[in-house]
Amino acid sequence: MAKLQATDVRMEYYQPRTGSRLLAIDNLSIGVEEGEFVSVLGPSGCGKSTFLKIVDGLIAPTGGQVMLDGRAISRPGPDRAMVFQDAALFPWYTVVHNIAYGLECQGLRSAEARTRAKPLIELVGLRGFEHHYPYELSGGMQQRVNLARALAVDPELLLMDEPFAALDAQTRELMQSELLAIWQQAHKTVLFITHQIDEAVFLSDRVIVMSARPGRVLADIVVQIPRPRALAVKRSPAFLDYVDQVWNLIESEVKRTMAADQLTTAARVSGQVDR
Amino acid sequence: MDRAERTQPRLMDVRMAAMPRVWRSYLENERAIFGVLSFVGFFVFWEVGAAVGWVDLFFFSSPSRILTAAIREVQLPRLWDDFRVSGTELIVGYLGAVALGVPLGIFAGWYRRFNFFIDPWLNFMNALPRVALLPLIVLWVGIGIWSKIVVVFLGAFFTIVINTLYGVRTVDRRLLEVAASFNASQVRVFTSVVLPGSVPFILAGLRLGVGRALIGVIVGELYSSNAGVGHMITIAAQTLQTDRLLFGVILLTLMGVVAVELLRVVERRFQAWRPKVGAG
Amino acid sequence: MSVSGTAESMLVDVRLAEAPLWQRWYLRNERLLLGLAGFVSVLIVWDLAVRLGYLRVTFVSSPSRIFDAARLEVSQGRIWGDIGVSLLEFGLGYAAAAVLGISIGFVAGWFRRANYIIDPWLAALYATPDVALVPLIILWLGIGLWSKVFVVFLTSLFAVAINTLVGVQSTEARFLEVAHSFGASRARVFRTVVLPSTVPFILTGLRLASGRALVGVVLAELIAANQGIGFMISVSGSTLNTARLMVGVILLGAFGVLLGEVMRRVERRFDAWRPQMGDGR
Repeated sequence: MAKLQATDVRMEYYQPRTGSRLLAIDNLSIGVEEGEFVSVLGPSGCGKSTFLKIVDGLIAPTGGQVMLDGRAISRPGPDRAMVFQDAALFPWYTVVHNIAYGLECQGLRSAEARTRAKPLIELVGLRGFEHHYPYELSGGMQQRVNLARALAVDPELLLMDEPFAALDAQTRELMQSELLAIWQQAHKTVLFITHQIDEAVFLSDRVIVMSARPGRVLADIVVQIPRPRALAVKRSPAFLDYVDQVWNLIESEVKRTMAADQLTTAARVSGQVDR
Repeated sequence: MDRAERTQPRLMDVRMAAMPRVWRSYLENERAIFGVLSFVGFFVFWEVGAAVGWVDLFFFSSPSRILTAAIREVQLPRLWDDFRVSGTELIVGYLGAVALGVPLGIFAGWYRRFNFFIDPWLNFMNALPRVALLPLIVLWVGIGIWSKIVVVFLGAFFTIVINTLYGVRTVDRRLLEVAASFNASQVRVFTSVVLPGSVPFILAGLRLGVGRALIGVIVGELYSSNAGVGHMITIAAQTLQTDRLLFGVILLTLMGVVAVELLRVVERRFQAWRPKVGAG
Repeated sequence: MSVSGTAESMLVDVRLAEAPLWQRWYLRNERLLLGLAGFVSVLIVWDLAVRLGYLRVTFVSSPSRIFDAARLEVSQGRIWGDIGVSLLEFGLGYAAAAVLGISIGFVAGWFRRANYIIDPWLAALYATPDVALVPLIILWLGIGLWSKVFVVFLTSLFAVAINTLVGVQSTEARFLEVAHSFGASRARVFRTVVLPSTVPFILTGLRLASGRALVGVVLAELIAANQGIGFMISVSGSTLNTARLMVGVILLGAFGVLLGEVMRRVERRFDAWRPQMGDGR
């Protein structure tokens, strides 16, 4: 039995105003082994973030189920922690307070939570910034706090929702290699959402490629590049082969998404005129 | 408005450094020089105009007369009585509006259906010029201090409720998700996300509310009263003491400026976590 | 980004698609229905409380009495005169303030030295609670139409001028650079860059001003007038005709709601090209 097992997960929404339905995820089944780093890759709008929220327990799926260690997930729990998109730090809390947040939610007293947060500040390399507010940090530093906040509760499963999407290219690369270093130290099972092919291949043991909406699994690719991986790996032929393989799978999906986007944009614009 | 201009060191063309010093210091202080000159010019024109007879003293008074009236009035106990009455009305009514408005706004922001339920009345009362209720209020509680307290309360209350409500409603959904993901309790969601997220809006509501409250004091006292700065203005108008009337207006302006500035200080204190530039 | 990000507020659990028809209908119109319920229930409680003697008729009247009073007013026709006078005062003063306020704002925003002169005055006069000047204005212009027109003018002028000024000054430097780099003349820069980006600010100023102006006209009519809705309210109050007073109050409230709604619509229409942002209302 896999550590995390999602079986036939289905997510369908209903639009009360128009009475129409929207199928976001269509019978998705994914297994993740203990200690594995798995990426879910797909065009924007394919429901991959929604899937992650289902695994976290923030959303209940309309069909299928997700099991962690053989127990069905129904709500957020201390065995999982999410690294959110765009950092989503509390702007009114300092770095150390942000990192201690999850511990405080588990009932730890504030002072103790902050003591426990200290080593994580070291781990993500933010010593000296403990008492800064988020607006005083760069995008990369904010993402480190975001990561430390999730690691602080010592989860068994780390859920990462496109954490580096908003960073500039160089920072993103550095964050990727740092993430790998931290992952190897912390021995976590990771489920990583991204729309960037090279990021998925570089980080993962397995890349699960999703189709455009409604999201289904197109392929499950095992990345057999030895670890530890340095950034130079990205220029190796083996790496580029994987990138090509994924791109070939996903190209038509991306085009479908773009065409659909143009349609909805056109609809929205004409709707705006009516309003 | 021009905060950035004042706080940031202004960079200028290096050629300026080569100019004569007088010209340079003129350029550096041009804004202040023009501002002061326009004020001075206005008051001189007014004073001289009144002395020569272009400006009707009866209708417009003159700066020196207003100053004389001010010096005379501050030495009389009746001014301080009026001042105290107006201040009491302002503070009691305003604090009442804060004490009831903030909780109601939070409640209505948090419970969507309750918000829908009270929305029509809230909108109606907010759009209604509440001065129109004055005759009714006087009917209820008489022309004493309480009618003004009620007017002040009504003036500030809806602004505070609506701003608070808006602040709660626009709390960042992502942060709510973060809290939910860490299994935060309802109380913690409230204290760590909803409250800090809406504090800027609440404070803005309190600041707008104090302006409305002051207008409530004035309006209430002008309509019917037996004491207060507004009462003093009414008496001054009836006895054709334009200088005393304008002094009353200046006094009220000062009250307003002080109250708003006090709230700005509070606002700034609560916002250490916000970027400094452009926080105005 | 993803489905949940942008559209979540409108999307609900799909199981609702199987819910009974009335439940889906309720969900679609929840806001309206609850609002209506809130509105009507207050009226019912009010009327009942008066009928059962918990509230005194002299103090609060009752919805049914107010309705009768409104019918009486309309049939007598005297109220149309009051409405007309108030509208005329409001319209004249407000139009004058709009024209002059926008002009002052543009001059003070466009010409640097004019700004140095005008800006401190605007700041000082904006901070002055102008309603306090109403007795003086009545002294100047008497209790007739023109004192109210001037009060409306004065209470709305500064909000319009200051917002216009801020609008001109917050024209984005990037766009100015684009215009300059294409060699646009000063007039063209003004027409193609400054004017369009200032319009939303002007509209905001006009909306804020309309609220203040309404307060001004009502107050002036309460204090000293011989016609107008404020006058009617004042007379009703002193003759203990609470139902008639309420008719006036409701008229003003309805006018306020209508005015605010129209202004917001216009604002939104001119704002269509900019991304939606929250305004504090």
